[in-house]
Amino acid sequence: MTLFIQQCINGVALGSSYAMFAMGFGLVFATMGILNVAHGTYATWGAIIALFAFTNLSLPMWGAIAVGVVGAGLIGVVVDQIGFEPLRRRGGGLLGPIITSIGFWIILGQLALIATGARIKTFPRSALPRGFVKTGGLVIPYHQIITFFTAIALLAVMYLFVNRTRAGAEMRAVGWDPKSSALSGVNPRRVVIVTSFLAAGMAAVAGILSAISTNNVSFTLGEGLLLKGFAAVIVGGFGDLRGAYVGGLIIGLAEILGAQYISNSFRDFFTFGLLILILVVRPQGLLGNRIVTLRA
Amino acid sequence: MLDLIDQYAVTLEFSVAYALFALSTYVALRGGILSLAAVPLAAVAGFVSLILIEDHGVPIELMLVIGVFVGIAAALVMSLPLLRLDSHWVALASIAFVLMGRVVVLNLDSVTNGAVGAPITRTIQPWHLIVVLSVVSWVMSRHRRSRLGLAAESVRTFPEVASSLGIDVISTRRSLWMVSGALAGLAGVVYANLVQFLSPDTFHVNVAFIMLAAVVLGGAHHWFGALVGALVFTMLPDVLRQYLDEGETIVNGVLLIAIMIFMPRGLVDPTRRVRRRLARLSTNTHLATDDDSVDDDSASQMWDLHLTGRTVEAVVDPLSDRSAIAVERLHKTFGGLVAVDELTFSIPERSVFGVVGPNGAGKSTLLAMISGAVEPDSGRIKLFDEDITGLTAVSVARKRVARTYQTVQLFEDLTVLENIIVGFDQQRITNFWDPVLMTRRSRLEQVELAEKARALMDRVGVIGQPDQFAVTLSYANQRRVEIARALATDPQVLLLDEPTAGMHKLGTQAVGELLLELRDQGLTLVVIEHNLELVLNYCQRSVVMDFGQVLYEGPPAECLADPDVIEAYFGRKADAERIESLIQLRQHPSSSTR
Repeated sequence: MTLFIQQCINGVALGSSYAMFAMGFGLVFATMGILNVAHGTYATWGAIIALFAFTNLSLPMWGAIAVGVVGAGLIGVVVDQIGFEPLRRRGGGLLGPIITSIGFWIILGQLALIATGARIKTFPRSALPRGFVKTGGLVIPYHQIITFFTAIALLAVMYLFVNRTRAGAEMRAVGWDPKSSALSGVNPRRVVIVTSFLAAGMAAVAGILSAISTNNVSFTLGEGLLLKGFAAVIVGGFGDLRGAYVGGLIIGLAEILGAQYISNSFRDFFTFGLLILILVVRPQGLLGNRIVTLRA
Repeated sequence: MLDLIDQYAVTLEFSVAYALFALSTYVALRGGILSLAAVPLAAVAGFVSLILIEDHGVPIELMLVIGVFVGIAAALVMSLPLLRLDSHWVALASIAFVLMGRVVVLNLDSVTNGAVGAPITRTIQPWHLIVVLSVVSWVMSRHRRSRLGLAAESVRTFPEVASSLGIDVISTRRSLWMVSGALAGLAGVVYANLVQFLSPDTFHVNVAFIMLAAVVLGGAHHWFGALVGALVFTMLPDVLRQYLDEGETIVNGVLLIAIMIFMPRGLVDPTRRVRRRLARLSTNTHLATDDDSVDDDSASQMWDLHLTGRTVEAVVDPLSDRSAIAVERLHKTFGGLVAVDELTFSIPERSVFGVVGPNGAGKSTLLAMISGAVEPDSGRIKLFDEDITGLTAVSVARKRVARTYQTVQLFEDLTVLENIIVGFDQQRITNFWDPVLMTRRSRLEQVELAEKARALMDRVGVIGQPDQFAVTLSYANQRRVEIARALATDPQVLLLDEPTAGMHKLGTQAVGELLLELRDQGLTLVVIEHNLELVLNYCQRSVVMDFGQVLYEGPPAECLADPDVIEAYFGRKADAERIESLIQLRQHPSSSTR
């Protein structure tokens, strides 16, 4: 039983980083109709920038994280304005933005490869809280606690932002119908920029925290997050932050529990099998109440 | 030149493998399936070839053939969950398949040697590659405008229209999916043989993304684009490698983004020149909006030759007692909105029947329910006494009910003639191999259909060249092509949704006379119209609808004279007076000034 609870905690912690990534990824998909393949590289670059800020600029860890998040957010905005904005003006479908994002995925991935020298880097030990909490036979490392509460906090803040503020209402309006919202006085371009920044920033938080948990900053960091985050968004449902969050936790739990109780090497099999099952049985996702209409 | 080929020989060989991947993706995309599944399909064939070549010494020639069948079999299995999905979700599900494929490879140790990977002996020779590429190119080019090729166009651009022409969207997609699987199988065998080492990462998601990108870069509107895209994607970094130490693949990313911004239809675009001309024209004149453009001056002159001045008055035979279509207590709500409310009326066979009513009266919903595009909540629809309620759009179309749409829905990559030929699909007898083998019946059919399509063009009065792209016609002519396409299905009932919208007087008259002519030949015509002149002059009977209900049913003149109708439809007295003058115009056509 203790083992089960311990593994559940591990699953939730892992799922929390997937959830943070998925929230941003899903937000971009729901608001702008972009399936952004380059989203994973934002996480990679967030971690690389934070590491650089920590080691080369000697910033404190929280400062380095802030720099990483802002840096990745800006990359997200630049990518959007260079690559997606022209397609948006032309009124493109689903395919165009995917292809553009594959272009950025190639560019940002290759640049990350060059920046890290194709080596796996780690945050210095001094950067991180290395301890853990021991209680009732359970061992919970600090970084798991931090990841869990960061994800919860991000969910709460983003949920309130999207559902309770004017900017959030504009975001939802643009997601629903960009043209009509523009006619009713929303500046869609500003909404798109804010959304891109927030989404890329969240990817960076997920990237930095999972880099800390796994002790690994490499150019492939974002790839894993992209695939799992993508699964989380489908499982949980598009167009709903809570759905993405729950989806992330489910994917994390399925991965850890599947590995513990069924087969370690088949763990991804369950994740993606679950994904296909959801797609067939309930394409709008577990929490999704509407199918996001994409402009094909 | 030979030096260059020598220098890049390996890259060129790889570009053949990538071309096969890209073509596999292209074929699926052509049918509107945005899928990354070429990679897992190829993986299956790749690993099968590993076993057969290494353990059983199967020669490569045989292996290539086996690869095709393995690819088809794998595609068949994968289609079960995949093709049930909405097209947008196929992309997502296919990514999941790519990732699952990797896990399977990792875990089937006995076959794949797990994470370590397994070497495979290269037995493929350059001439094999040339043969494979030639055969594949031949098949692709022969199918560009074949029966399957045209069906694919229709299914991709407007699935709903395809169904209304009797083309089964799902089975067309499945056929394309099998072809895509065959190509992926070939790709898998060739690729495995060239890399000479298979590991879990050989067929990974990166390859899948890059293949999709290559297709769009090269141009997703022509099979040759897939070849060009694959070649560019493999050659460009290799050429740059001589000048750069690292990051040479970045150029592919930059190129992709630039192409998507400046050339969204890719490097190879058969319609590029036409589109450019169209873009220029539409800034100068309002070509696509109405009939007052240049080509219609001559058009109206041509019609003067055809027009007979015949109206419905000249039709003497009484209306048949038998109904072609009868609806009984038909009901449909959308959310809380009642679109069609317990509607009951019948349409006599061999008649021109008008459906009029203000916007939102439920006319188009009615048409959609008759044609099977929308399922009614309750009530019955009968076609010549046969209950067709709840049949799918394809089944209804195959019972020879054709329709046109309120907004023009022509297939943009096809010429006028090809657009019409799509309508002949159900009468065609050629199969997949006929065009490839250039059989006699394939050639005969092609000639025959082209002739029939030309005849239909003349009959509905399309002013334009048979081989010009249909979207370059004026709006009114596009509408006529749509009618011709519907007629190509050889219907017994033709449903027309505002056929004369955007046409001027002579055009309207020509359509009206065409309706009567078709009636004479035994068709039943149902016309939704706002143009009351058309209804008065050419319809034998009509219903007026409002709020989903029948307001009045009878001869058009009676309908429009009914005070309820006048109030519901026109509201104001001024408009009612206009109607009266129209009725008088109809009764005394000689007093018309035209």
